[in-house]
Amino acid sequence: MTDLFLAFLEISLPVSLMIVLLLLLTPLFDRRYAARWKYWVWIVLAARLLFPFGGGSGGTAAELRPQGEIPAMAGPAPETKLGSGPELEPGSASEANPELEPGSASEANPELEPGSASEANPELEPEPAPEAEPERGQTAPETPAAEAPRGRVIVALPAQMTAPIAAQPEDTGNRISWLDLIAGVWVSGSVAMMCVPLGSYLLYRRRLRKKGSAVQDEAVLRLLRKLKGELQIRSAVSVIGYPEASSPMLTGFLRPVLVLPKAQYSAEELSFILKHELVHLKRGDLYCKLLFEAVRAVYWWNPLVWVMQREAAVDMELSCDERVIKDLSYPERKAYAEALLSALQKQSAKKTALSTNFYGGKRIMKKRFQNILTKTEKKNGAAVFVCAVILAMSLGTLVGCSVIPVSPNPAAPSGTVNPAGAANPSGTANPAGAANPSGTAGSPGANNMQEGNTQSDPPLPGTPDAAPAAAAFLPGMGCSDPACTDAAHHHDCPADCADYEHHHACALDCTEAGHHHGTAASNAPGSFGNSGNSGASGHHSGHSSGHHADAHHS
Amino acid sequence: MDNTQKKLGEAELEIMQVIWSSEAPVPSNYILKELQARRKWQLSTLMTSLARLCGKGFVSCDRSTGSNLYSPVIPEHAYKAGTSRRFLEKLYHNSIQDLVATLYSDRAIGDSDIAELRAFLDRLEDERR
Repeated sequence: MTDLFLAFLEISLPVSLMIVLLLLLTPLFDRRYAARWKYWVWIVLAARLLFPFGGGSGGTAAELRPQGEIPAMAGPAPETKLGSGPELEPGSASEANPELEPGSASEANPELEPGSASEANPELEPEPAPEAEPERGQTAPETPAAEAPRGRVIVALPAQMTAPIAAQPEDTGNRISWLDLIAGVWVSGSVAMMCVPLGSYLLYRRRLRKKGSAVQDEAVLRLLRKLKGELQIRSAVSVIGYPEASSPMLTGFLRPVLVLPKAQYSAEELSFILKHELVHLKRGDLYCKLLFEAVRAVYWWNPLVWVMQREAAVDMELSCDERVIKDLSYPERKAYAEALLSALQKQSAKKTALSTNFYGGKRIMKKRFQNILTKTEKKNGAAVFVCAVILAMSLGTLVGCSVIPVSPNPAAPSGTVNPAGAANPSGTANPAGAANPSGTAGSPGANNMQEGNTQSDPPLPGTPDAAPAAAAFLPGMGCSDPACTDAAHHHDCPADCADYEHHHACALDCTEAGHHHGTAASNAPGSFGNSGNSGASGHHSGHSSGHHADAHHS
Repeated sequence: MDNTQKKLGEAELEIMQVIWSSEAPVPSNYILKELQARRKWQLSTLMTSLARLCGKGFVSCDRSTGSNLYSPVIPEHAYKAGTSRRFLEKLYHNSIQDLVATLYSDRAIGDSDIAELRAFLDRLEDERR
């Protein structure tokens, strides 16, 4: 649970920045582009928030250390030093599908950011995951090795994050409870934020069932059929009259219902009203609303997410209007605007507004009127949309550095600063990158190559020394001292880890024994692609991010 | 359905609380004295508020004796229940908005807003003629 919270926390920063960016650009976008593009960007951002993993760029995702290492770190579990090679090999062949990993958060999908708890449904408390870690010690050997041949290893973050905490009770004792407390508050908030709307919704549906009556008017039904045909809607939708409804609306996730308040609408008005709601149906807007609700439930602590939800709702209506008036003449658009105002006027309930707020119906309605009656043709925002999607996806992975679990056997801390680790190789403006550890290693291979090279530049092979070592290791930045023998800096390898891949500091062809933490540069049998260096570039990509911190370490 | 009971403003609520807490009908002087600590009102101000409360149906004014005596019409518990009901209704209404697709948002829209929208639309139509 704690790690899930951290995963969400991590992804929320870059996405929040994107939200702010989009908000700032809103006036520009509203003028130039059709509303649906911005709407879809909101949806992408919301999906990104809800699924903090995935979206790794390219196939270089998982360059993290083999899972075998993690169980070795699992505190409660015996210190099964799986080492790097030997133990992993035997099981590997049999497990082609890493998804067999029980309860673990690891996924076979190389695109997964290990920073997350890899939960398909973020609201599923991954409580099984931490508990599963000890057992994973036994099952783990199978999976990581399975990845090995492909040069990819996925590491389950929960293991990384929870296990080390357990492994080092002496200095993380207080920390556990603090984090857990926050995570507890977070979960409570989420539960509340999910239950209240859900409860209200169910109450509403019940009232609808009790006090609503099926509309029998043949004219209405005929109109409905005609519009459905025009919009090519095949799903069934019933029309219910409900006097207490404050507005015509579409509701119902499984069986859509069109709700009409008790008001007299002219034929033309009704036609527009039905068309508007049917467009909502056709586009699945209700499910998008559900998405935003879920995101808000998870990120209730982030006010930008609330803003995003409101803005997305506005864009939803704007784009719905656009679809309604598509191919309509200007007089027809005017008629549509008039129909909207007239329907609004006919509402008897809740007419006295005691307060106005920024998201009051008035402001939104004005925007809609302007949009409907606009004479300028809006451009196709596909290019912008694609850019935004790419940005959204890559932000997540670049920010994501795997959280380095603290090694249970802290070797003498040493190491130099890893400049590459700190820098954001992809060049994306991502201020969160350096500071925000999360589990991805998705940087494109090319960048990783650079990192690998720069890392090999700094000298210092040879003896590790304890004292200045601390300076070399920057929490959050990782360690770039190739001679560093502090396993903690290298994603929890044991100090005698022979897997060069863990040390993120070498060039592909580095033969410096010192870079391999004291062992020969030769590969232990079964280590991952060490000899061939085949997916080596992949190794490097993980490194920079991999070095990002271990906050525990500080 | 939820507007049957009127809302009380902050000052009115304080007055009502004085009236509610005393068992017998109270004169306005008493109310003024009780509220002296927090509100430095003139008697005339208080009388205005009391008249308003009378109009809203919260208090009844007994003028039979020399001084006006005020007693509550709506009991306190009823008002509190109405308040929480109103709050819940609002919460309910707002919660649904995020799960249904309406034709328009009736959030915080009042009669004057509609008039404003009418003018706005007229202006737009004129501009774009």
